[in-house]
Amino acid sequence: MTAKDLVLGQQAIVSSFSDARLAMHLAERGVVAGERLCVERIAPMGGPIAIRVSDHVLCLRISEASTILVQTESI
Amino acid sequence: MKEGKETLKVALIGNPNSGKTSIFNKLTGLHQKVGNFPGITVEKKSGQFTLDGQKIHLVDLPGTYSLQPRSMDEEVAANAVLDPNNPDHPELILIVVDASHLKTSLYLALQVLEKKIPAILVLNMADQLQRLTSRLDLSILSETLNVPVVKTNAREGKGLEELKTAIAEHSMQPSKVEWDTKIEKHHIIKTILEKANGHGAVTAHEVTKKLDDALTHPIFGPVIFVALLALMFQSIYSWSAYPMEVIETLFSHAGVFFSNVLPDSFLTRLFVEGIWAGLGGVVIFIPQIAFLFLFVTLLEETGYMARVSFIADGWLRKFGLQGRSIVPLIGGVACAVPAILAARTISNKKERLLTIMVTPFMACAARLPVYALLIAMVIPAGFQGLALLFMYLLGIVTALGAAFVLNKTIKSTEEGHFIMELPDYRLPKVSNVLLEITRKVTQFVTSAGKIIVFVSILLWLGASYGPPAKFEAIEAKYAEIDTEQAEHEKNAELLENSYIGILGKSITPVIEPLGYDWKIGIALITSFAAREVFVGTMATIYSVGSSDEDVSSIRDKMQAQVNPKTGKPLYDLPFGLSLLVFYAFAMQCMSTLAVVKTETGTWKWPLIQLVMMTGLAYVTSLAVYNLAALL
Repeated sequence: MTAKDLVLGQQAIVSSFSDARLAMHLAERGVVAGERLCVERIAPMGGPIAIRVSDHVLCLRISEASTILVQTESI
Repeated sequence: MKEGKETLKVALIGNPNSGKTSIFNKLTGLHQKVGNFPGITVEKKSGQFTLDGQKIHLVDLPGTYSLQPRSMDEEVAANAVLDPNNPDHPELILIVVDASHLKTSLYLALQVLEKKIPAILVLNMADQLQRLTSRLDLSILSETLNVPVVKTNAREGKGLEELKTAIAEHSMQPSKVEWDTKIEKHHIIKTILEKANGHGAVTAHEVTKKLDDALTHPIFGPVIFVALLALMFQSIYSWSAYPMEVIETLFSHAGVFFSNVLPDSFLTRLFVEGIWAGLGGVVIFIPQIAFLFLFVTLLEETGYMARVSFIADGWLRKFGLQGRSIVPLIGGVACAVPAILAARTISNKKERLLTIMVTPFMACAARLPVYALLIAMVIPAGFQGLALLFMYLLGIVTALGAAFVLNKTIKSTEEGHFIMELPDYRLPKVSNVLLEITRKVTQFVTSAGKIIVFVSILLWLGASYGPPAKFEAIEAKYAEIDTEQAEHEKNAELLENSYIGILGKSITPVIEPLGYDWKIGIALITSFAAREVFVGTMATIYSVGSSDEDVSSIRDKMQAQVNPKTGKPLYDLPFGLSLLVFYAFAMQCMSTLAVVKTETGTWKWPLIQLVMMTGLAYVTSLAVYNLAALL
């Protein structure tokens, strides 16, 4: 699953990326494999989601979130 | 520090919001200047200070997350660091690390240290996180990275003496640490932080979480934002009323004083009727502009603007814009020039272009004087605030509509990215806000002021002189008659036959369908230098045209004008509405066109903007005038 499939408040661990160019920019902001992330807020009108990752809160569009492959912790 | 007398070049680099600019302000004090980086319009702040007799030139590089740039801002910072031939390439670099965002800050720090420039790591902290970072062992951090580390709290002015000492005592040797390039930087950072007993993970500030529950709420969020905007404009209007009245009185009294005291000569008239009248037209709007910049700076400084971008992205994307377009759009309410520069943080080319193209539709501060004058003239007293609000809304709606149309016509395959941080809320630092307002007002007034005074002189000359034969004939015609009425008629006839009157009349056939006479024609011509010139122009035209030295405002003078054919007020409601709409839509700002050219790299876009906006203005004004005349 990807970060876009997470529901509000759900946590997950980043496993890999499907867009190499975007992955580089996400890495600058602390989004790397093995990091834990949590969906904190979802904007209206199909807008971005805000995830807590590394040491801050980042806004990402749904299309960007869908390039982050994640593993949920439960089971 | 290096030997020798020549100036040491030092640069500040760091993430946006790392406190870089606070450190810059504290180090340079008021000895700073704002210019542009060569060839591009990215704002460059630089300043001088002296340390133990050594002159230091400090450049504040634009905030960036890495040396692999995505936006123009980031490119400037990267180029200065990477290219030794760059004029801003520093001999010593101060890497500002935000103590509350150690992981992301150190990512950039490691990239910079790799470039082997002598460096100091400045661990700057937001006050609320002092407790957390005090556990971080600075000596281990300094040892591991082989670079001096200084702890500061720039907002409170702490640690700056230590930073100065560190600069003075620097060995000017780069860090000797080599990292295994195969290992990802994040692992290196993790190891360093573990060793130094600090950790990057911070839980959100409770206040930030609570505030965000309301401010980014899908329904309350936008409602709060609109309410805040309404409150903002209402305050700007009411708070600035008193200082504006004071300025107006001072200027008109001083004008009368000057013409009484100084000998009646060409120079006196040029000064009082030309320069002084034009200058008054600029100075009077300083209160409104200052309050506007105060609000914009506050919204930005507190971190609220990022929330607005977050909730607005979904809406704005439907028009081909993006969340961060909100900063240029709101900034466009102050002045399109800095607002267009603010669009640089948008990394997607098409979204950035659209933002640049439509930002000038927003009701800028230069339109405010024109709106204020016209609304006061033709709108009944109870509805004036509402009318002003409508003009602002008109700007927003038109900007969005234009973006929607342009989005459909401009093709692009580039995927839009929107990666933005939601920083913790913080109280704005008063001194930072005041410095920012002073800087922006000065910038606005000096650039607009120069144009206005220049145009005022041209105008006065053009209005006072005409073809000699014509002027002599008029003088001769009125030589025998000596009544006050005749004096008025003579002055009006002189103005009509002056060089500027001839110019204004030459465009009358084009503007007559919109309800404008040749006097408005003159104002329209001069307004193409800058919109606010309109008021100054009308002031000059009417102070030239009237013989007595009364101090009544330009509004009263225009209201008193009577249409010789109908006997009704010359400047009536249909005229007022038509002109309001014209000023709302027409592209009448040389500075904006120049900035759009440098920002887009071609004359194509400013030309399209000129044709699109002015064309729209003509058509709508024509419609509005004819509709209003029917009612």
